[in-house]
Amino acid sequence: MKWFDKFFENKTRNIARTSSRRSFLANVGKAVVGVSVIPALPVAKAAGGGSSAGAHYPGVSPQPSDDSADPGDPTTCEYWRYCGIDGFLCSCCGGSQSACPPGTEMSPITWIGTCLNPADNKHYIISYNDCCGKAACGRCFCNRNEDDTPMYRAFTNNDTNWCVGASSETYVCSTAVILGTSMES
Amino acid sequence: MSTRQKNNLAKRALCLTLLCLLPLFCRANDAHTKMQYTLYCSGCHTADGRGSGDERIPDMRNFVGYFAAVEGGREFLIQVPGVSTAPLKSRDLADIVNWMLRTFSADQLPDDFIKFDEQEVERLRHYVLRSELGDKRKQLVSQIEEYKKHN
Repeated sequence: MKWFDKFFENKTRNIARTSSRRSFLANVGKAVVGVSVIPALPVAKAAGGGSSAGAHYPGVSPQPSDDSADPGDPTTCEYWRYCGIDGFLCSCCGGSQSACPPGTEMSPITWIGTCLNPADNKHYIISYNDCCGKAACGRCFCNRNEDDTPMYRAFTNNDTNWCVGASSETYVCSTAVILGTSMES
Repeated sequence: MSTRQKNNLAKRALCLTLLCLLPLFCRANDAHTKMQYTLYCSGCHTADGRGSGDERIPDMRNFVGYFAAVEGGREFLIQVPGVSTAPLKSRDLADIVNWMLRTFSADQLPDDFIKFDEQEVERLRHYVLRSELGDKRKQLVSQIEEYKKHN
């Protein structure tokens, strides 16, 4: 075991000779700052998904729209109709932006807002009907909250579980159904 | 034709044109009211007024008009929190309530029903039914049941 002791004694003495306590602290500081900065870089964000621009939920294939009057991809949070949504996108859960997945029921009552369609620059009335059933979908969470009001204005609050009007009160995912055009924004 | 006659003719033509355009304005107004109903009310009351299917948001179809026929019902129609606290001007609110009564329950309105106007809504909405809402509604519904027997 003598060689083992010798080896570490040499190494330790070497480090003690060539480095100062201050440079050790400086290096630790650099590491701490560096590690905390990496997730803030745009590259890391794109890889991580979530609600950043153009990001796709892993495992959900893109569904780009062929209709130039209804542009965008309903499986992304940036899709124009989702301007006031808070929940899992039904487009990622076996349904679509206007239909519930099989086995779920659309809540009869809902919250309603308006979104600007970039294709014709008109405000559309959007109904964010929740789909209700066995278990929350869990894919493509999207929370944009435009026009959202506090809980005391429950009729335009998107944190409410609107499944209270359906036979199952378990929330699955959210749709964004067009009801018409709005004359006021 | 003298200048005066020409002037008269021009005035008449203008009046006639405006008269012809009147229904257009009225219809545009109705569309606006319906849009506001969709935006501010239909989330809970649904597009056709049927509500949630349980007692929390009752069915307005062929019923809500009865409220205008019983004592205290007219005030109730404006003082329910959904109406009185809606983020809308009293004038728009009066239009919406009139539109709802006419659209969902025209046959139940009393013959002497007078439409709501801005001033009445403004006056009534200052009082908001809160904790007494349920009891008030029950009382009015029993009044309505009584009213139905005689009408």
